[in-house]
Amino acid sequence: MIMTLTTATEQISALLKAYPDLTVEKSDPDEVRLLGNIHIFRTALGFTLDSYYDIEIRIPIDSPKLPTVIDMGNAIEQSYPHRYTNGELCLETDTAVKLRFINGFNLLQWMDEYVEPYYFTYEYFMRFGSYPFGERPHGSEGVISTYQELFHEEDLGKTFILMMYCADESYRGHIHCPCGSGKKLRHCHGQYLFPLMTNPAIKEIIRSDVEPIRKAIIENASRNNRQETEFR
Amino acid sequence: MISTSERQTDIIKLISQLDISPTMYKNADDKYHALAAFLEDCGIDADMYPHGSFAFGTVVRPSAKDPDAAYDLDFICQLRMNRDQISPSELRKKIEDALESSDRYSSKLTVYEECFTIEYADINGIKFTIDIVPATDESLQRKQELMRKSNRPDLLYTAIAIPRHNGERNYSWLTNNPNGFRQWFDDINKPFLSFNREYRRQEIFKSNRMVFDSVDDIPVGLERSSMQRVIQILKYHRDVYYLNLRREDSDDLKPISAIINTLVAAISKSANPQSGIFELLTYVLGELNIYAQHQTLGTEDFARRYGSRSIISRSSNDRKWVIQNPADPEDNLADKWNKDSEIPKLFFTWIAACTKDLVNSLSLPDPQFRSAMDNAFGQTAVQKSWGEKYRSAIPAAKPIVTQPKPYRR
Repeated sequence: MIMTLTTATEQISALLKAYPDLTVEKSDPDEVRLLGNIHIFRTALGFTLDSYYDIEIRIPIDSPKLPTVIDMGNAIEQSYPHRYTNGELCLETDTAVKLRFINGFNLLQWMDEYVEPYYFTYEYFMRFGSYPFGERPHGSEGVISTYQELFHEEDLGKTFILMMYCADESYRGHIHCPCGSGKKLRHCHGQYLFPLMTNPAIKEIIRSDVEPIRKAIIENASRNNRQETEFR
Repeated sequence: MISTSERQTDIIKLISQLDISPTMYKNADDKYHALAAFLEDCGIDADMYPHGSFAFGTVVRPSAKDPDAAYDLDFICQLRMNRDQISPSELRKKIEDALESSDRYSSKLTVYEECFTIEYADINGIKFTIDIVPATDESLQRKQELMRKSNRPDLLYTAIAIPRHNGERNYSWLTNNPNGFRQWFDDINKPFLSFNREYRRQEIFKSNRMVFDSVDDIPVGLERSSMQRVIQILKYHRDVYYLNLRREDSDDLKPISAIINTLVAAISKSANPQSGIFELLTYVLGELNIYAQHQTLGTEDFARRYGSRSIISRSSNDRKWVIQNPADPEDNLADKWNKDSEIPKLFFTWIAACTKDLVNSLSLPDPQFRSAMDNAFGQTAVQKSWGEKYRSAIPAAKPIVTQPKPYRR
């Protein structure tokens, strides 16, 4: 997942070939920045996007962080909920992107599968007032919703219990499924959990997603406790 | 870059290909006159006349998804009596019995709750159906009641009564005034129709020499003013847009043609009748985008900023949307807007999309203009009318396979 300068250099030159109006703006040992104009010509659901956008791509080197895109041309309206105030685009949850590239990051595929569809989604939303492929809730809920899809589980709470199980335990098919169905794990969510839990890289991603949420829950609970004590 | 005027000509060409052809017009005209004559032979003393898009000259091929869909042409069969002389069920039965008695019509007939539909076989591969709504003259008392409420009482002499289905084969009378509306519409359209008229008739003649012996043979019903073309463009854009929403309830959400006719005509009243189609279209969309501000501004604020504009209005106490049917004081065309707030919201989102497609995109480079037109009118219709024109040599748009959902930390 972490890109070295060598792999980054190779992938960047492929990217510059695919997007000829992008240029290397800055090349530091810890980050490469590309700047310029990209043409997006994509279609889905009877709608075609055929437009040009000014962007900056920031690619962290030797870091677990994902590349980011800045909307340099201010093409995305301020009112659109999936753009940070500094112009960074909220492409997807890091979890979804990291899991997609678990076997190695690829800049071109990332453009193809996340950056271009982001603009498509935006223009579609502006035209029809709805999201073509849905949207994620903000914050932790958005992270958990990524796992809801992976686990095929509609309940947010059960999903988080399953996430904790993945982060803390080793897979054992004969135990009762943590979701509380009463079924054995292998006959319940096991089929979705097994491939995730047996891949150390994925397990690590799940751990890093669970920790901040668990911490927030605990802090929240102790704050409530304190308030209750004070009230008494 | 291909010029704006050539692009506009191409859009008009595309729309006119969705219009009823002179041959079909003649055919439909013959068929409904034959039907009227048949009903008369059955002893039904009635006037048969078109209403809806056939009457306004704003026909567009229905259903953007189905290029083989039939044209629905609407007619009123109005008995020469008033509603006090017959019951709604008797009226329906009278016409139904007559149609059922005929070998010619019974096999083509479908009986619906609101109308009788006669489906004609393909003519040159194009089907059409005639919908007949039975009616009588409205009672004098009811007309007077409506006249008192209306600021155009003169339009109400033509009010009719039609059977309304209340369930369980039970019918009551419903007032309607298609002729009054048509009178209002035609009055506004008249100066638009007079402008450049001879030229337009010559153009129709030039491309239909096989159909007409001379220019004088061209029926007025085939002429299209700027105002009528604007309505056709918006209707077809609407069909494609609401279809692309891909929602099961899109038919409930989309603005009915009566709303488009009313808004375009009412706005055109203050436009120059010598406007070209796109000049008028730009003006109409500009006005509708102003009305969009009713969504965020209070009634008083709107009035302060935009003066007397009242074609779409909202009441100050309960924020109810009103689009008054000019020929019926009791008919608020925006009734549905008040039951589901998504309907007006989507209407103005659609108007913004129209503006983008039909006004702003005219200055884009050729390939992007072509993409915008694919979005506006559907790839199939555009390809059929224009072939590869405006397309660049680069490969077609790449489909999106993954479905990422935008997020925020």
